[in-house]
Amino acid sequence: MKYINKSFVIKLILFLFFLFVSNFFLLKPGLWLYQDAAGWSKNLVEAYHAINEHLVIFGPGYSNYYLSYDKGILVFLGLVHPIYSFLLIFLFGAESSQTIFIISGYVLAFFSFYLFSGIFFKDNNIRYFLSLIYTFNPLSFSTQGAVYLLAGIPLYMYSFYKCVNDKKSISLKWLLLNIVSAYLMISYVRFALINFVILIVYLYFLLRDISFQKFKRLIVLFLIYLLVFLPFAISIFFHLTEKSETAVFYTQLFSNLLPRFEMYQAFNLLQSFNLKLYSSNLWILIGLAFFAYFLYLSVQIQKKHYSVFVVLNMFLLLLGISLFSFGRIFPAELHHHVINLFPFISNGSEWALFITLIPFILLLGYISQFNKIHVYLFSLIFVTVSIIPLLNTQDFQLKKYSLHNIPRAYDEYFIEPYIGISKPTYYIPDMCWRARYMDEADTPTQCINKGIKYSTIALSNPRVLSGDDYYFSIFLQKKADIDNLRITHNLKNIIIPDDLVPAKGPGPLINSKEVAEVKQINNILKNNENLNLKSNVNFNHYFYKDMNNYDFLLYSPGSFSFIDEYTNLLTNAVSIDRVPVFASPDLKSRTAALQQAGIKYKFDPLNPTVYYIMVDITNLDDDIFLQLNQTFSENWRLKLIDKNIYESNKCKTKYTFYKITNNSSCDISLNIYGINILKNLLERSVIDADQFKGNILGNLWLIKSSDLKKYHNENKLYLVLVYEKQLYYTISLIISISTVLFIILMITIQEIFIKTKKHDKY
Amino acid sequence: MINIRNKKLVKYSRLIFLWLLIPIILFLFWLFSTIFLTSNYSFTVIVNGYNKSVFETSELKPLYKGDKAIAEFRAMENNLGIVAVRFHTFKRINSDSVIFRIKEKNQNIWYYENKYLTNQFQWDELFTFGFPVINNSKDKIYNIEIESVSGSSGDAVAISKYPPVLVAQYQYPREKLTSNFFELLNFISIKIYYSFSDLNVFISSMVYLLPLIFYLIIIKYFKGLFQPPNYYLVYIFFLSLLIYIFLMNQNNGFIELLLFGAWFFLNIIYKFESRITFFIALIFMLTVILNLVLGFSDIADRASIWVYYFLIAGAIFVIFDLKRKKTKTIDLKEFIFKFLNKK
Repeated sequence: MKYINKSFVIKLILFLFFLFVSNFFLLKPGLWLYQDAAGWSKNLVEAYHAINEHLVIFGPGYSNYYLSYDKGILVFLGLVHPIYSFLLIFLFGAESSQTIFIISGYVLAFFSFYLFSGIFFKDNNIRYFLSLIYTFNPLSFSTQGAVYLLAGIPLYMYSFYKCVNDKKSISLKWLLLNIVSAYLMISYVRFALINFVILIVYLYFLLRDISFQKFKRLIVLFLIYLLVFLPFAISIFFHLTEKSETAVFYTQLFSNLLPRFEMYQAFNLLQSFNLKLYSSNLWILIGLAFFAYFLYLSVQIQKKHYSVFVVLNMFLLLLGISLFSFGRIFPAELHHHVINLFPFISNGSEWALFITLIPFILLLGYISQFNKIHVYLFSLIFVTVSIIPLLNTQDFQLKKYSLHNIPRAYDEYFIEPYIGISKPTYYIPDMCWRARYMDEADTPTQCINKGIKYSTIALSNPRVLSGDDYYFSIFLQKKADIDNLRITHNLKNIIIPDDLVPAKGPGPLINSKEVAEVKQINNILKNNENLNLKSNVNFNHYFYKDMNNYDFLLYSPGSFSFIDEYTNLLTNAVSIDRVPVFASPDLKSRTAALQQAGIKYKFDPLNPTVYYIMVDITNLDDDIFLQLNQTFSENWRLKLIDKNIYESNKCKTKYTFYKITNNSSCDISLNIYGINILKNLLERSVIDADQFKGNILGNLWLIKSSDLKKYHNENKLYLVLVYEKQLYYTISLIISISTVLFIILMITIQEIFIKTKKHDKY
Repeated sequence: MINIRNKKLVKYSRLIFLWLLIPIILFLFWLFSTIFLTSNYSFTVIVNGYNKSVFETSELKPLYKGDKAIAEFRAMENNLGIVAVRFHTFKRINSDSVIFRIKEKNQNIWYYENKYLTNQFQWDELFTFGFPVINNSKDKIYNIEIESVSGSSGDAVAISKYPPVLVAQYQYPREKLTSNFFELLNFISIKIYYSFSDLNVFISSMVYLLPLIFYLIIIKYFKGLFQPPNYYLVYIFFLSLLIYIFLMNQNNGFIELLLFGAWFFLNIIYKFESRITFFIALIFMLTVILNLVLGFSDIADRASIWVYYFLIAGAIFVIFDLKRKKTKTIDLKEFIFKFLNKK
């Protein structure tokens, strides 16, 4: 109660006022579907899928890519967001949860910075005003709803400071907060890297005079981090040892693009990222005037007041400015080297602005020692001015759209909760497009389809897919001769919009020429005899007439079709009746004697890293090929198992038989993500099967007749296909979660102990 | 007697060193910098720029499918081998292609024609179209045509508004220059003529003269080399900087580096405290704002580069100040008074 005085009430009212005003547009009904904010889950199933994506190292990813991919370092990043959003959707539903999510991000960012600033400044009023700037400024408005990301650094630094500097020992409460904030810091790959750059500077500042006693605490902290972030460490280890391109591929792809801004934009303090609310000349001038004001205040610092703190913040601020305006100041040749050091600026040097935020505010706080009133004034005017554009709820970017108004067909296909195996689908032009109803409602493009029901067979996002997978996805864009994709991608459905309109604002860059192309492809598909059409007022849904008779996910090929370049894949349609596989001509000599075996397999639709397989051998003298249409990787292991292990995994569903491919499958639930097969994998040897690339991107194994004779069990072969890395990742997850649970348990015991001790005293 | 002779020898040697040798070195620095560093082009290339009047197409008009930007220019020299055109990309990567054609006026067939992807074009930068060298191009009139293959709304380039929008480059054969001294002299004189007819080169050249001017002022007015009694050097520095910002219409990294270095040099000899540099950054920031208000965005852009340089310099000088907290330095107030020549 001692805190509740007049000053406290005024500050609380002011904070709530800014919070309300800056989120005014969010209070309207509907979802804010602007750019990345469009990824907000529309129901609990989607939210659950988003969490699950962080538990499997190899999976379909956020956009539900049918062939799945190794997510590398991306797998453990961003775990906080889906868990928190799942909780909110469960409690408040899709629409309200988004508003609460964003507002709570503001509150968290404010309090985090308030605590953090306490390390450097004693004056609570100054801390309050600095926290206002940190929370309510154009950069925080522009993180597409993910304001909570800004809380990472301040919260981490403060809890770290408390852990290291507490008098007696490391406080478990602060340790837990430190772990949570570290999760926040790595919640987004670009922010993770930006945060790392900032963190080094402030850690140096805090630890530069550390005593030996505290150094020991650092070692303890490091060991705890190692346990808690073991999944992250493992994903980085694999990323480095395998030289994986995941998450860094876009850096190579965009390294030739050198974004150039007018140099004065680097000093424009009213500069937002993604939300283009401040792009007019007037706002630029106001933004520059704020910087001039800041410079004026900086000139007030006397020589005698300079310190390491000032120097570090100045250089961090200048680093952000330099990276932002790199293309303007430095030669293009240097850009390639810099982009490797700071990959977050590739394809968008505006990201560098997030480096400038904390040092700018801390310098302002430092200036307050000499000119407090000016700093108050600066803060209040800056926050007030920067909020003004957010009050225009009619602004195109701030418009919301209610899920209830989404046309029936979109709702049925892409929004209604769906539980089951997703259906491989070819989207033309892409799985996200601007539909006519978005133009009529004058809202930003809504990317509402997450592919939960109809997963995409092509994903042209270089931030997640890399190398051949990406280039092949690009190759697949807007093609009409697609019958062979049944074999390579198990293709069953094609969805092509009738209501496609050219792009408006951010989103897929479709122009009127491409709209005409899509219509042309639609006309070609109408004449494809293999397809049936089910159309609605919004789009055409084509599906293969015999789609229930084939399953090319996991099958034993009966014939080979040799192609040397993937660009030749679609030129001649191959009959699926002979159950073919596309392979390199190098394999010709290995395919002399092959049999098409019957296959039965079981798998967990949520975990595409384990397949239990029973191969029905008809002829022990001929080789068998196995094709798995999931992204090729040498991490796949084909191992022998006992018949009883195969049978002990009970099917949840009945086997579905596919006549053409002569295979059948059922769903199972893997406990703890298949960890139970680890023992088996360690015990039995790998079958001597050669692995090749089959169907362009998939995996093809050759099981030789000699092995069939050696290992068969009543003319049957029991196998398991495992993505090996998943097992290590699962173990690391278990260690991580156990450590966090152990810390929570210890906190509870510590709290009980303290309370008991206090009680005894009295 | 020998001692007096030796003393005289030392004195004359010193005078020759200070008044002849170093000035010659600095003069040569000016000459070579002007020839080699003021231009982005090879030594054997003579460059002649043209303003937007050579184009029939208006500046910044996007070239959509089938649209042509047509230009006509008179070749000033022989050996025309490259025509560079400044394109505006609307700050995006465009996927259109353009067909470049060139022919002598009144000829029926195009001398050269090729297709180029516009995703290589940089925003408001010159893009070079090369073709087989035309040996006897001098005084002939040439037509060029740039046609968009598939430009559409949101995916098209335009001719930039920044001069020169077209640059003709004449490639002299290196062998010819190295084999004949008089040919080389003739070439250098032509090169200097064309170089100095370009305002940017002229201003750059003046900046490269700064070390010589600084040097001469220092040894003329100062008893000791590093005890400046006045702010002549500071005035010259700012004059050069203002000329560079306000009169040049392109950036030159070498000049910026030289001026940046000059400011460091001045700070070391005058012992300015870092606040002075921040104060200058503030003044330039205000210049940026003023120029933006007046609509001179190019000048604002160049001035803002100097805000950046002064901030970088200021941050480095803060480290100096940390090291020399107890040393007497010139503070902001003193600097302003001395600069304005007030007591």
